Amino acid sequence: MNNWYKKLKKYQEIIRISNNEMFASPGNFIGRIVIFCLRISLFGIIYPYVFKSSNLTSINGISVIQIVWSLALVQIIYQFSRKTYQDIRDEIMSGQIETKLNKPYSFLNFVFVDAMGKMPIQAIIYAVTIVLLLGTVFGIPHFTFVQIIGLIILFILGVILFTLNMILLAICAFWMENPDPVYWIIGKLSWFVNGTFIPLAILPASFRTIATYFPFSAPFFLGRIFEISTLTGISQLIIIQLIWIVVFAFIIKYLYRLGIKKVSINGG
Amino acid sequence: MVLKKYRLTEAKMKEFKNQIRWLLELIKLNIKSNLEYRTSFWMQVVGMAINNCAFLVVWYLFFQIFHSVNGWKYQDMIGLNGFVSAVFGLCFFVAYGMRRISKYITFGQLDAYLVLPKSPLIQILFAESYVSALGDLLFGIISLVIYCFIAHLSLGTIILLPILFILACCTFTGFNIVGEAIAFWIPNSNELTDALFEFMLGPSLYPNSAFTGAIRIIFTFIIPAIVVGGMPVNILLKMNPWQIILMICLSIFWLLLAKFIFDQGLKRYESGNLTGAH
Repeated sequence: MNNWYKKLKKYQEIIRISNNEMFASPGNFIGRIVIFCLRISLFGIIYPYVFKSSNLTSINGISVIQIVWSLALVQIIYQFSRKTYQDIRDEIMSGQIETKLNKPYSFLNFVFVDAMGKMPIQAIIYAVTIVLLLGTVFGIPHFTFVQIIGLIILFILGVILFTLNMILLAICAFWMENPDPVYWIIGKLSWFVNGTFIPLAILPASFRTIATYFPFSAPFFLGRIFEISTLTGISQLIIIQLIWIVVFAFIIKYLYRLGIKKVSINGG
Repeated sequence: MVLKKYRLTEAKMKEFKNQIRWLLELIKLNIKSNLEYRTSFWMQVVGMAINNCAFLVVWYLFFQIFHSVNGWKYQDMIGLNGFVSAVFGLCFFVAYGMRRISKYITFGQLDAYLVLPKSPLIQILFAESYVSALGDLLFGIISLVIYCFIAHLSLGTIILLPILFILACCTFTGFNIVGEAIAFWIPNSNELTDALFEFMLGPSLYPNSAFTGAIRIIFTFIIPAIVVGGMPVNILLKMNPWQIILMICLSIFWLLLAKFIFDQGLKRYESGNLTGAH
């Protein structure tokens, strides 16, 4: 029991440090929030304009306000864990990872906890930002109780899955000189089916089916909260996310074990 | 006196030629070092080119739903995506160092560039090349060729295209340098500069006819997203001389601003005492 407590305390310390690090450069943090606001404002400019010029009020039962909100919700996920990919990739590519292997913690757990540690505070900040910005300009769409609970669960699982996605892509660096092309290709493929540019609700049914089962679009399920709003539908999305989390965790663990065998210590 | 300063003497011409030769050598060296891993090189290039087709599919779906955005149709999106990809591709393929400036500043790694007898900014810009960007460049060129045919562009317009392309590259480079140089004032701002870059790239890929009023002014003068893609495509379509003049002015402005901001920032730079050869 005492041993477990010691282990947890170690990761608790990592969370504390990563949170401190987040606010170490307030200019950087505030700047990112501002850019985030501008980015979601962009959706708020384009879609109402396009709807108005096409004389549309809704598509597939989804109103323009819901579209803007769903695009903004997808953008939230992108605000988490992107540094995780860069950090792991750089550690592996530079060979610096060798210095992490003899430390009294698991490198994988370290990067995961580091990313997750920032989640609660960041989540609150981004949620408040979205509600203030979109709520003031467009109004807040109607959410049922099931949707609100679903949104919270889909968000938490989404961030975890997105972090695992990033870790998986980054550890490709064990086998490739530079995993960036894989990162970009997967990233852009995901844009098709995760609702980054066009909400899935207004795309053909075939796209929505692909989106449901494509692992790299699963982190962004919260953007589908207006399209799938029933308890059964949301539960199905949550189960799919949970399955992918388990699958990704196993794959990462396995590949990481294989990968570290390839690390050559050069010294110096 | 001022005129004398800017007069092109033979010595200055020789110096300019030397600079160009040196830059070409740097680019050649970067390409050669990337070609060291030939499979990876081609995988990245072809992968990125195919990958960019994703944009065209997304916009195809968009225009299936909305048909037209203030006069812009799907064919214009091919031109826009082609233009932005080509600008992004060329700039990052030959001068990816522009995306490393904030990192060098944060980690105090500029020293190696400061001691050499060439402009540190130019050295940093051309110090690295981004292989995948060649895929973007190829995709961009192919898209632009297709666009020239489907939009029935005249020969005069097609001749103008490379000029607009160079102007857009200058603006793109200038804005990136300014964004990266923020690190001189805001420490550890890598994520901010990334976000800033993406905020310029994102809107540049949208039909710019949707941006009107104050938003259009912001995306033209403050975040030059429209100048990088939308404005050149508009010029190709409507041949508006005022827009050409505006593009020239903006590209010069961003380059000068980049040089000014970088030079001012250098005065604040603190070395990390790291030595290395570049």
